[in-house]
Amino acid sequence: MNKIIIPNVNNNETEAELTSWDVKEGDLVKKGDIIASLQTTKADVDIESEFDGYIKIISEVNNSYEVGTTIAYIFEEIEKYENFDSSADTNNIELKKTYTITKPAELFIEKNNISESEIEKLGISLVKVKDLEKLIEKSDPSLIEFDPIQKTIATNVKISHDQIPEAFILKKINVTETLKVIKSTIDKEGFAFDFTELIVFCLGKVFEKFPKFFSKIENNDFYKVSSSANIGLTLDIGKGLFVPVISNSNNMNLKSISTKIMEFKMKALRNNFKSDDFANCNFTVSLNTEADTIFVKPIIFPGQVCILSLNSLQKEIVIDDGKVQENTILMLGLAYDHRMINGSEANSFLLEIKSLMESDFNN
Amino acid sequence: MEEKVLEIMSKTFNIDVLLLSKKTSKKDLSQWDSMSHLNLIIDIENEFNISFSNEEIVTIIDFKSLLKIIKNKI
Repeated sequence: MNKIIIPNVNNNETEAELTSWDVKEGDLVKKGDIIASLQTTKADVDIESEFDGYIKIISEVNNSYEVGTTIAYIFEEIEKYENFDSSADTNNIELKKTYTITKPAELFIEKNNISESEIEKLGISLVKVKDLEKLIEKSDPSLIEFDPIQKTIATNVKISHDQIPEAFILKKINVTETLKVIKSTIDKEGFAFDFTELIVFCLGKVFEKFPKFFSKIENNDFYKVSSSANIGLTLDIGKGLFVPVISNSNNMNLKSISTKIMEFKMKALRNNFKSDDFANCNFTVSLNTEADTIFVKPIIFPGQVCILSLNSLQKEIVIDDGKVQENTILMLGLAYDHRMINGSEANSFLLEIKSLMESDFNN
Repeated sequence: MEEKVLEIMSKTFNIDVLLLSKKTSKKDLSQWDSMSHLNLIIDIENEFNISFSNEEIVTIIDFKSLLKIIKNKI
């Protein structure tokens, strides 16, 4: 009986991974035949048989073994091969179990119910989450990894939840008259706009009275009041979500705001935004104007104080002085950081916007 | 050209061309929303091989204003 052992491929390495067997259990092999392949971090190595005889395989592919470990026997006679009891052999191989697991990896193992043998198969001395993720991918090819962009968004959502003590207020605004003013303004001034452009315009108007709402949070404990209202819009026209910024909206009229928003819509459509288009946002408007969306409670972007939710128009039947009347309703929501803003301030802020929307806003 | 523009509008808004006219305006046609407005611009640009500026796009509020801009570019 002759042994096939893991050779010393490189003095700097103490183990190798068995990547394949090129013969089957019980095959008759000849001296010089390639019977197995190994892999180290530096090289791939073929193992040749140094003997003629019948092979008894006692190791597994994809496992790592220390140099000198017996991985198979070669028997000159078939009877000896058939009568061999590998469990009686004291030189029988043992899987390497010396590895260290990082703390996050431990939690990952527990969460994903990864067995010790699966970890051993990795054949590495320091087991990290990254290594285990590969293992999960390997074990279940039907698993689909999250999109990296969605993961980034999710990270921001988590930071927002963790760091911002958020409160929310929702106002129901009757915009029946506002709609009439919008239509007459379009006819009179000759440019197109709707509630998206109007809300950015109104936010610019309230900036001076409510500068705190447009602040930037610094180091999670301080805030800095901005010198202008830089309004980000959550724009999704089927090409992915973008949040371009209408800078200095407090100094823009309705037409220039409408033109700027049109520019962003075309850029979203043609996918030719520049990094400057997304810079210096200090207040975000979440557009949720798809039909039948009553309201969406948005997440405050980390670093900002507020986010305003603009929702779709709804019809409402009311009885006014005994007469049935149809009103158009807009739900306007404000999520705000409670460290800086109280409920009464948030209420005043929305009332100011409501008042502007009901006035002749183009003056 | 007028018929061609109406035909494009009909396809973009997915409505019968008979429901459109030279008096059609954005504010009176529910299918002419902000999203279909963008699609209309792209379809017109492709059909006539022209390009609109952002300033021009916001001033397109009805068939008449659309036609005027197209004529100035051809």
